[in-house]
Amino acid sequence: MRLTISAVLFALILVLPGAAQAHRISVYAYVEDGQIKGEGYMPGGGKVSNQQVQVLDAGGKVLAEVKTSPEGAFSLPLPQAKPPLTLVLNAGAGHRATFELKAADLGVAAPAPKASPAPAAAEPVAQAVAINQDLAPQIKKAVAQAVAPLRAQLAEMALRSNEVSLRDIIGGLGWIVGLLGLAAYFKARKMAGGAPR
Amino acid sequence: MFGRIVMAVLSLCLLLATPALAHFGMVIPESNLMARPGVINLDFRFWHPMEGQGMNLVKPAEAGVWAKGKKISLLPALKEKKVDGFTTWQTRYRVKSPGDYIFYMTPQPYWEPSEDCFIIHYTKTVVDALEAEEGWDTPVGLPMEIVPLTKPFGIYAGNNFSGVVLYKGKPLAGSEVEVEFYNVGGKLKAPAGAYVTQLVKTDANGVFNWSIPWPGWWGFAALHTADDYKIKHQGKDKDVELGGVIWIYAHPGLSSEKGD
Repeated sequence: MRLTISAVLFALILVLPGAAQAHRISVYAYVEDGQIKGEGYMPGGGKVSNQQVQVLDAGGKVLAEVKTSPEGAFSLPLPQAKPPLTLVLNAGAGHRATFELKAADLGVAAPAPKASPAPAAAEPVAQAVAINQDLAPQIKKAVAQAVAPLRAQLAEMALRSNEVSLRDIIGGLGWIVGLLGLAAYFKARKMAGGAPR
Repeated sequence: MFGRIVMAVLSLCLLLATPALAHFGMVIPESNLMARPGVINLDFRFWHPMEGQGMNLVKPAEAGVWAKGKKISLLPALKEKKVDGFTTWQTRYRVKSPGDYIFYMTPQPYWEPSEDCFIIHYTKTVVDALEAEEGWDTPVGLPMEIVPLTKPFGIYAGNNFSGVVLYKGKPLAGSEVEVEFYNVGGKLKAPAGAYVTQLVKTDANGVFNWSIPWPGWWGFAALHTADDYKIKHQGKDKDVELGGVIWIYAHPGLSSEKGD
């Protein structure tokens, strides 16, 4: 009995330092221009530098790997796989963080492209034409990239569907002006028709 | 004689009937923690939070969010919403990346006849996204502001909450800080008037401490009469009561045992 208790205590002592994560780590990522961009960080502003980040598909298969920079940042090409993708940041000693990139994140989370997005999107297409073989993945990639903003917009629209935007208001005003114009036209015609010639 | 008694009784009634209501600017997010990027709904109002008595909040002079050292105005995105017949404001904000987001508002001066002064409650609340826990202790730069010394999220009921009161950016000693619970739905009844609005004063360094008795949203309003300007009401100069308000959420305490 006493032996069991000491064994349990010993096990606890072994386990506790790992469990008490005084410095938790987090990983965050978004998709922009066909790249997964992200950061490994700690609460309060610390960065998780030089640690491994893996990208897993829905089945847990490792699709890609990258290391965080000294500033905790990382980026890698977006693997072509069905969402969701899971990013796993491994910092050893039981420090592990995950972040899920859902279907919507593949466009929505990305901030508006800062520079010109055209070259990034155009490049694979140009390559595809030049290589002229094994086109399918290239085209798929290019299409995915081209569609990403659209996807983002759709998700955004779904989100905003219950809100009235400025465009809605202007659109509504347009309708009113149009209908008034139509009414004025018919009225004018009627008046012209009724007027003695 | 009879008339005087009637008058005395009447005025006593009036005096007793005037409830000890404290005004609070309120900025309440749907949650003060976000595990993922996404959209957060926010509620702006001017209220008596413990008594659940509403007031009209005229469209604020400013409403915004501070994040990563930058301010973004949310004023154009504010939408009016009537609650119990009173004007409140709502907005939604898309949080894209980890960090602390401080949502704040500057209301227009509110004329309070019973206190013969104007009231401006600079109000804020902190939302942490994706456990970044960075930025919450930064002053937004409001003329009257509580800067938390206790991390203002991840708080349990029973924890101490500490903050420093800044007036024009400098610690304000001896400032009164009113404390009220946001009594959603009016479920709780204060046993007496004294319990409605609790009060603590700042020490010589402008610091106050408060133990949060039970879970929910708690508001802290540091008050100070503006010492360098007045606002005219019907041609007369009137005092302006400045409030620096912060709202924090306390989670119920955890226990591994059942029944406590």
